[in-house]
Amino acid sequence: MVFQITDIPRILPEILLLFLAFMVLGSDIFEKWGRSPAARLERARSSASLTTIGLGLIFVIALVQSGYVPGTAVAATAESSNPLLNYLINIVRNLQAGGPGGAPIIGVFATDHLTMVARLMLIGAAFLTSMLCLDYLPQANPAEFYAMIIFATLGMCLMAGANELIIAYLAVELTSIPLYVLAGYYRNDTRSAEAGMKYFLFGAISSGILLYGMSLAYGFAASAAGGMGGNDLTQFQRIAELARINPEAGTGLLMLAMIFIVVGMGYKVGVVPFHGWSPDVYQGAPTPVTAFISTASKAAGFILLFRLLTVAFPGLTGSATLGSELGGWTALLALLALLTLIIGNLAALPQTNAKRLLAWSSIAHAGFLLLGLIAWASPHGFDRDQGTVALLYYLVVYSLTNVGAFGALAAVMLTVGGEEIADLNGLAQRNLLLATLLTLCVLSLAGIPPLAGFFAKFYIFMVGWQAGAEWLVVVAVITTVISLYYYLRLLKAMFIEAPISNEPLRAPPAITASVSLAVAGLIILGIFPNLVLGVISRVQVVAGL
Amino acid sequence: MDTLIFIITAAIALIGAVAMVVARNAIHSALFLLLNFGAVAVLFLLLYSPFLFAIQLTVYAGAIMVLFLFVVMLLGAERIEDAPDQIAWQRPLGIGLGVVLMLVAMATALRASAFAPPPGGEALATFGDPAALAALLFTHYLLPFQITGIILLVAVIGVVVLNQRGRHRSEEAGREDARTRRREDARR
Amino acid sequence: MVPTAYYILLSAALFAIGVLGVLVRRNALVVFMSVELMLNAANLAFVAFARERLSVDGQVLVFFVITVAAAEVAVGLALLVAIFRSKRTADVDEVSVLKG
Repeated sequence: MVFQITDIPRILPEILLLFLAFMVLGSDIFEKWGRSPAARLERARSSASLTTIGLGLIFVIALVQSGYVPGTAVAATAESSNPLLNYLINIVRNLQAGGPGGAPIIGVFATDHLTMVARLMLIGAAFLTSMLCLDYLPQANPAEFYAMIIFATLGMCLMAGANELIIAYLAVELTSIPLYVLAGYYRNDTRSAEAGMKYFLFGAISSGILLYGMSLAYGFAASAAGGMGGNDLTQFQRIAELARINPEAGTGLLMLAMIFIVVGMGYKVGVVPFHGWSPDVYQGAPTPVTAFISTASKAAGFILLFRLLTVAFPGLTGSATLGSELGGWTALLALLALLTLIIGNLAALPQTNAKRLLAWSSIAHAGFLLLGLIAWASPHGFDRDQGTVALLYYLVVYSLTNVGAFGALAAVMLTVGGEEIADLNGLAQRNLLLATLLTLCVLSLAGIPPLAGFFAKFYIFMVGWQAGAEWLVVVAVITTVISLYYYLRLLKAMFIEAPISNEPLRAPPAITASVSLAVAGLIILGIFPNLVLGVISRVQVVAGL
Repeated sequence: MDTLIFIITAAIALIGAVAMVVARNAIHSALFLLLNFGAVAVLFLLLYSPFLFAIQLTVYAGAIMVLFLFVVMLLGAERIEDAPDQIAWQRPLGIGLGVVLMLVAMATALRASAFAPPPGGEALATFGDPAALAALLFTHYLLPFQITGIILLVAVIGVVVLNQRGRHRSEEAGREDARTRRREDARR
Repeated sequence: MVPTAYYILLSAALFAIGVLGVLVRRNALVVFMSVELMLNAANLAFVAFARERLSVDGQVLVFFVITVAAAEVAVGLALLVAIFRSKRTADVDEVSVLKG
């Protein structure tokens, strides 16, 4: 398997992201900037706008390439008499030749619908984050800040399409290293430096555990391959195939590999008991970076975990129903989900810092997301597909919500000057728009109809119930009710408490625009979920069965 | 003969690792880790991968450990007094978990791997040949190769950005600028 | 000829010692060194398994891992230096401004 020239359109979004990163870096290096504050401001602004516009364009190109928007799919023989229109049709057709479908590139990078949907989600989250940064400008080395965001997005897109152990590990590293740098970017601010260090230490440990798990999986494949050596022993499907052919050969090795991999990825997505870095890093990092980490990085982590478990270890799926059949990775995930739901929601109750509260709420949401993975415990293919769709839909909704919530917090921090809940006091009287946007985001997190969060939670509870994990769904519902308390505390601070000063708050325009986009998406998805569900339903991961 | 070399090298590796964890002085830890890396490099050589032997010595022992030693000496971190732990049973718990993990991993490894001698023959003569590795690297693993290049670039940029002297702005100063800017916008 | 199992046992032992170092030591630099030990253990396992089946996959992966580990070490040490310059201590337990 060699890299063909026809593979380039299939990996086009990633190549474009790389070019954008180089452009952002180059635009900063090859121009003489002044030293005055106005000049530094202009320098930061230029990198920010270049990144935002570039990410928006890449999103549009990826959307065209996928053919998901009804009416943009071009038939193979479409033609037009108008030469200009013909030219455009040809361009779109060539773009869509790289759309979802076909064998994985060199066998390592899968370009199926899952990758396409993930790409759109991740690039969209990066776009909203960089729009947030238009007002939250990092003054020192601005171009590198945005280049790091773009590199992290590139790593995440690769994580979503990884079909093999080597590229999975490399993609995880490519995502993590820019995020470590971003979390610790304001290095003179003690909290940011500490966040960067903690994130790095925990991330390095988890990479080590993940790599050891991969070595055991490779070892199983190598010893089970018998005489036929081959050079594709690290591919997920191959591991699953070998596990199927030799059922008793080294199941212990494979089980241990699976446990290590779940532990390693568990650190990345922040489930209990591997969540230790989350509250500190979310609180200490610059707020747009927190928004990025909590949405895109978590989404990419979940998708990679999904691919790893369902494609590489389908034989170990087991079941999550209480009883004699408890076992396999669904049982392990059910245990983790139980711990995450309980601890995540309970620990958020006494928080007084808004960012930290949202951090604990993110940890709790990771527990809800695990329910989508546990849906694979069901033996019916229909339930499994539903589980996949529920997981992806929840990820989309959760990403929009978190970007909105953290964005609103960033606006409050820039104007009021703090991130405690007390700083939100009386926000409704000072700036009604910002308060309303934050309210809608918080209500969606809590799962109140008719916002998208309600439908996402309902869907994922339903698939969890059908898969036999009724006990877990009951716990999830109870903890959702508990979470209402701390979400409503935010609303109480905004609407009922008296403000510190009565002057009206002028929210920064770019942050407001970004948060408005996110909330608009939430409202639309809540009333018309089918818009996105139809697209996500095309994702059918072929497990190694 | 091979077994003898293996046993000696493995013993050196284990001694280096344990001494690294136990040593009080961070510089001693770094030097013991260096010993461990050297032993692992020899093990790579025993496993018919001369290329990895050279890379391990050059990159791991020669670059990474040197960087560690530089940073340890820069920070003066070699003298750390051990204050009592915040949780009294933290250390025994850690040791207990580590031992359990080792037993589980070893038990699994024992059950699964073959105790038979690994294959030999003429296929072994060209195994681990740098030319074979390179052929794979540029055809089958081209995409991971490019990604590794990007990772290196990102690391270089990150290191330069994190340690650059010059105008240090903190988050509060960034907020100051935002407020100044908004005031100017309002005036306009 | 040394059976593969010996190498895997050694790799498991080194990995466990690395995890021990992470859990027990408080000097951030030594914790990071233990992480490198864990990565090394995984590398050893990869090469041993590659030898067992004469498949060069494992060696290529180790090549990538060593490269990425070098990059990670550089970034990690830069972050550690950044924080310890201000705090003047390398003790992980004392770095806790963010508790809450």
